[in-house]
Amino acid sequence: MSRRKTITVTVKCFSSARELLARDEFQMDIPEGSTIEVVEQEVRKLSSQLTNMPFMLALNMEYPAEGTLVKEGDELAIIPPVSGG
Amino acid sequence: MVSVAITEDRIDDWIFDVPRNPDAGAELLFTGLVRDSEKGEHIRALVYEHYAGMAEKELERIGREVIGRFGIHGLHCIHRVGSIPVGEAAIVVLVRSKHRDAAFKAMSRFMDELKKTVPVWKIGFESTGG
Repeated sequence: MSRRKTITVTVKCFSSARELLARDEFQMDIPEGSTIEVVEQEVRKLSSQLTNMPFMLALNMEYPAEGTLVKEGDELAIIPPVSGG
Repeated sequence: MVSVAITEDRIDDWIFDVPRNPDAGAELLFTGLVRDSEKGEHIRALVYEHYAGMAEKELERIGREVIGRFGIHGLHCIHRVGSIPVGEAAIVVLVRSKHRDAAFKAMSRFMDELKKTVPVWKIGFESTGG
C-alpha cells in the first residue's frame, strides 16, 4: 500500500489568528492534491478557537476560487475579518 | 489609472502627484481619520497592521474594479499603518472623473469593498489611561 505524498506550505498568521496560534507563520504538511477547502479544514483543527472563527484563507496573496489546488511551496495566510480604512 | 501605497509615515495633507485629465469635471478627496474612542474607551492612537504585498494587490484590484464599474478617470489611495494618533489620517483616497455622480459612487464603493477584503487590521490602541 502506498502512502499519499505530502507537500509543504507556509501559513502566515495575522491579527487575532496570530494571537491564537502565538506565531507569525508556520509550515504545514498537507496531502498532495488538496484543495483550498481541505487546507482550511486542516487549519481549523490547529486550535479549538479557530474551529468556528470567521476567517478567509488567502493563497499566494489572493483570495482563491473555490476548489483551487494548493501546491508545494505555496504561501497561505489566515485572514481574520479586516478593519482597514 | 490606479495607484496605491501603504506607509508608516504621516499622510495628512497628502498630495497625489498625478496630473489632472482635462476632461475631468470632478475631483473627490476622502480622508479617513482616527477617532478618539474605540470600543467605548478613550484612546490616543490606533495601531494598524497589514499583510504586505497582498494589501496593495487588493487595493489595486478594487481600484480597477471601481474604474471599470463607474467609468471614472482614476483612483489613487494611500493607507497608513503602524501607530496613528487620534485626529491623524489613516487613509487618503483621490477620485477623478468627468462628472461628480460617478466620483461619489466610486469613492463609496471603494471604501465599502476595502473594508471587506483588504488585509489591514486595527490590532490595538493606545489608551489615554484617563
